[in-house]
Amino acid sequence: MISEAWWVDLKTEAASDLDKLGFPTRRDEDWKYSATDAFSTQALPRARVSSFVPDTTHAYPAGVLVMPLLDACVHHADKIKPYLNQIMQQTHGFHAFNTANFDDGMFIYVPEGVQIDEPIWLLYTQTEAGVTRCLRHLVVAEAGSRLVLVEDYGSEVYNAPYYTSVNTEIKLAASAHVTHCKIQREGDQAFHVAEVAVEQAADSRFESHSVSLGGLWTRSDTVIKLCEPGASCLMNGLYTPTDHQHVDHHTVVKHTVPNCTSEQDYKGILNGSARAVFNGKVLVSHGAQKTEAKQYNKNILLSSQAEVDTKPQLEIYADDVVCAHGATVGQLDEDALFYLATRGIDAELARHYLVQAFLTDNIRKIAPACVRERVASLLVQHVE
Amino acid sequence: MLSIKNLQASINGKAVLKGIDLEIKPGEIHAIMGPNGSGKSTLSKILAGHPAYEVTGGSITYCGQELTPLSPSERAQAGVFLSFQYPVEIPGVANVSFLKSSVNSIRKAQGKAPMDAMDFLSFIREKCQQLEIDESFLYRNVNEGFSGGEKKRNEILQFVALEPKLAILDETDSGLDIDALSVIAGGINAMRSPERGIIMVTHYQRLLNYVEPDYIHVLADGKIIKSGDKSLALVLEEKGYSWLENMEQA
Repeated sequence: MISEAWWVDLKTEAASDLDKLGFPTRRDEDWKYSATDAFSTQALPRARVSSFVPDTTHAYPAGVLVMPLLDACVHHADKIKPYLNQIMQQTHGFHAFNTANFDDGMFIYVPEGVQIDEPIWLLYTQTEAGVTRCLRHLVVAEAGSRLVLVEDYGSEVYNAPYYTSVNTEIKLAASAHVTHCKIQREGDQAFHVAEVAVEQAADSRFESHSVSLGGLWTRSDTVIKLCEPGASCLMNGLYTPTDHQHVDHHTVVKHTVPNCTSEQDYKGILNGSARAVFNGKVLVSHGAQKTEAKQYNKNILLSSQAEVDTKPQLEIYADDVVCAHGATVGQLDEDALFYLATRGIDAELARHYLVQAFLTDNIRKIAPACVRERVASLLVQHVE
Repeated sequence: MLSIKNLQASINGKAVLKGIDLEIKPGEIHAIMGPNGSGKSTLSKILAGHPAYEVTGGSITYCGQELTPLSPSERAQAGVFLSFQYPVEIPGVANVSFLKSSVNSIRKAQGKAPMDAMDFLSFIREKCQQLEIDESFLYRNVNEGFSGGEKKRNEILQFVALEPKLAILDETDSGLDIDALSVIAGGINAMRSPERGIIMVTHYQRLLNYVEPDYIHVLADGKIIKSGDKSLALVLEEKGYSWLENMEQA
């Protein structure tokens, strides 16, 4: 137990915020399509054991920290305090719940100018049914540093519910380069509520790859604040819900200063009675001139019972910007299916080819290659 | 091998073919010419079974079998091949695996054993050489980023690899420079055989200088308005389609 005042304050304030805010309901615009009552009332007990043991034998360059966040709060409080719960804006009950309850997660610190090429792969495999696990990660990339972080949520629990709450805060100092890949392949009855909150300084580059495959009910948000000129970000998303899966992505990019660029490209393939929600918001503040912002969401429905609610939004308060957005929902291209059929290719393989073709652009955006290949093979397994 | 009788078809309720009669025997090459919008490409798509078109009258008999009830892949497996005017791009799928799936599905329908990867590679490499296609073609994604000419070569590569009984080549010459045209024409000529029927759909007479048809049919407004031997192409080249259309109206 950490007894320092700042920690106790953080936790008690979050608990009282949770009391005040409560969990969101469908009356909240941002939760309109995602009913939370299904599980917020279940009051699952807390997971008993930490689900992840970090590989401490890995030799990182001097000064790099990859360690449990709770340990870091004791031994490196000076590095934690300026950022923890400062990057994420605590606006709804799930945020407060996570802050009040997290007891697991990692702290990653990369000093100025240090570049780590090998991905830091955090694999969490849930082994216990009927529990809640509450994770918080904090990443601090100092000026000119470089890292690749993969958060990978798997499960050995099927046919039974559990709940994962995970919030990740990432700070990029000037010219830092961070690639963040999140692979969500939870059990088929799992609830997964997550947010990645990012702050970027000048000339930094952030690339987010979010892949949502598993879970019964998933809410996965990404909120990026471009705080200084020259910052750029990519938000690449793939989701493939089927059966009764529900997956909701909310993204927010805040262009607060001039000369920043953002690109969002989310694609979904839905089957069965699956439901997907995409809500993307680009905010361009007064004076954020020369902003370039692109936002696309494309969906393919493979079944007549599947449903998508997509809402790309631009809010622009500057006059010298290039912004584009668009959303589509459709079926597999009839002419392409016909072309493959005339080559004797059966309907199943033809569908597989066209699904592959639809997702290819997004898969290609994933670097490094080892992460890309892993994601591609998980997608192939999942779609088949 | 192909007998089309009084074929009528429509798309979204609009009549596009208004009574076509055509007989193709094994070994023959027929050219179908005509102005834009005359129904040439429509006829090709209907023969291959495009689901957007509805056959509203007449019949298509192929090798003694009614063709209309067959799905596009069943037609392909029965030996009907359509070379597309606008081939579809399929990013993320390597040309070689697409070609192998296609060849093997048709072999399977014919009761032949599928080719394994090694056998297929030597088989397709030989076809590439014949068509002067660089081997790197095989490892690119299906038609993705291909130039117009490259797409057409890929279509002819499929024609040569699939060895269909009946080939319909839709505007195979469009977008080709002279060198590419002569290579592609060489590929088509090499596929001429006493067992195979070929239909070439073309707007221009140019391709017919390289691949000599046995018959030429001119299509206008969903009907064949004139049939003749290869000399008809020369008259058309000189006088244009309007000559026939005016004659029709007179």
